[in-house]
Amino acid sequence: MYDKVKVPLHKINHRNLVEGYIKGFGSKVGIYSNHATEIEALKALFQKPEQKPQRDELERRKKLLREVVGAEIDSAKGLAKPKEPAYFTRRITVMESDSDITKAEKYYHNSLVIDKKPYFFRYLYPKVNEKFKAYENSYNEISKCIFGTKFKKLLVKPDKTEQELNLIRRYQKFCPVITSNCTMNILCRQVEAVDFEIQYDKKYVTMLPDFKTEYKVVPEVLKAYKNLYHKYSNKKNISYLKSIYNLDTAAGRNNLKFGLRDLTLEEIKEEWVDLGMGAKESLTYIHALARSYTKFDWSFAWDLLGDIILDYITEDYTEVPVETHDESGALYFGKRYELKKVYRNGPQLDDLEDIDDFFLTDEQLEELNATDFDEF
Amino acid sequence: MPRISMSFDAQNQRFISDVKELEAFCSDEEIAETLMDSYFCEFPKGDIKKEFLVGLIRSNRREAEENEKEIRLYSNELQFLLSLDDNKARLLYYLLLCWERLYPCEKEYIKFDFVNMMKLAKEVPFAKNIKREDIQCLLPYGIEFRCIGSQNPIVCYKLSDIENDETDYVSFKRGDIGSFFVDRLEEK
Repeated sequence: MYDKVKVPLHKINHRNLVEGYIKGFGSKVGIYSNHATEIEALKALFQKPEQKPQRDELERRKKLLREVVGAEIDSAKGLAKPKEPAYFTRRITVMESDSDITKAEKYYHNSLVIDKKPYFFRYLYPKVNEKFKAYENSYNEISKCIFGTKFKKLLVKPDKTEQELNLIRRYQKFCPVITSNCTMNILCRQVEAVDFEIQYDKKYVTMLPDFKTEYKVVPEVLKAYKNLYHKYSNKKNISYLKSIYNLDTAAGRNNLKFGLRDLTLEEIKEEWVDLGMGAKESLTYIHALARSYTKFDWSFAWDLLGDIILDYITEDYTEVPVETHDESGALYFGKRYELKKVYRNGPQLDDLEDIDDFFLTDEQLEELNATDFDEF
Repeated sequence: MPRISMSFDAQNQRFISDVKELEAFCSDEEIAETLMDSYFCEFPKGDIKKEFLVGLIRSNRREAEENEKEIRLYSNELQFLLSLDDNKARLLYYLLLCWERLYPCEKEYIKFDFVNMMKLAKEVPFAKNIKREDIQCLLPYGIEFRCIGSQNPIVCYKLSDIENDETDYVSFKRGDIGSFFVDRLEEK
């Protein structure tokens, strides 16, 4: 607890209002509250009974930060700006000439310094994510060179050798984020485990229609489509340009990647127009082409034909997950969901106030099916 | 953002040969302008940018200059390389040695850049089949890897020291790294 400080009285006038605003700018509330989060993540590293002093010290610092945050908020009212103690964030260099006791004290101090963000912050701050990815990639490369396996596989490998353990220890020691088992990191890993497993199955087939009974596939034309597909999936130019421009930032690389993709697409579309084919016939050729690949990138069809493709999709509904109280629903993060059909000619999401109105009742569905749309 | 025609590689090759003829007399910008004129004559629909061409010219020039760099291999190192049984191991160790000579570092560890290192050996037919995982075979010869830097981590390597007689060496240019291996070190 701390004593309440009386805020000086101010008249409400233009000058005082502007001064108040100015004091409010550049507030360090975010920084201090992040430090408190970092302390919480750090605390999870000291879970052994003999590490109680570290845990207590971190708890004390967290409480102090609560005071600092409160004072920082109040500083906009005219109170003095607080200062976070420097020893919270500053490491002390351990010298060779230090005595063993001094060294031990310095190591103790450094172990409690907050200079890393928790692992889950990688999803909040792109820079942290970039740094962590670069770090992971480096260790992945080392692991491949030394042990011939990916670093992630090495981490879960049973019966690790001393050399493998050394690499893992180095990874943990110099890791740019705190990977401790704090509550938020555990939650984050659970989300990753669920979310990263969602991927498109190779067995899935496209729902785009094939009009092979209506059109005959001419080998020369099919070859032209094959060339278009090759150009579409060619990654060579990107790596060539990267080597010329020496792009270090992710933004720069993405700019180049998407810019080049747009230009390539534009060029492919021009060539496709020259073929003089409609969307129906093109879909037939793309289907014929896809049959010669074990894994075909169907975004080629969507990117090439654009919105026209929607007119040829015969399925008039899609399925969306909706929360349900039925026990048969699939469990996802503590709630149950079931798939409900949404019809193309049914109500649109933007027009509705209640989400339940989005799904047609059985009667409405029957009525819709009985409607002769040609009359309109 | 330059427009890249799909016949990019072919055009690029032609540009590079044109650039080589022109670069002795003109500035990069002047070369780019000349090339743009000839490009638009042939591809009126094209949309190539001058900055892109200047980048291409400079990159080509940089590479040409780099290829002139001299590399020294001492006789003890050559003997050591010849003592390695496997061609793959021999090439990898040889490339790591060359890389160390090309990009030396005051600190013990040298930046490891596998992709660019392998580009040095494009004349060696089996080089394209070599993967990072193959470096494992060099571990008994004392190669060490380390991730250095926390802000911008990079993978570095260190080769074991070989005692050399500073006066007994062979030298060749960076551009000849591949052919030197094929002529002198590859076990046929």
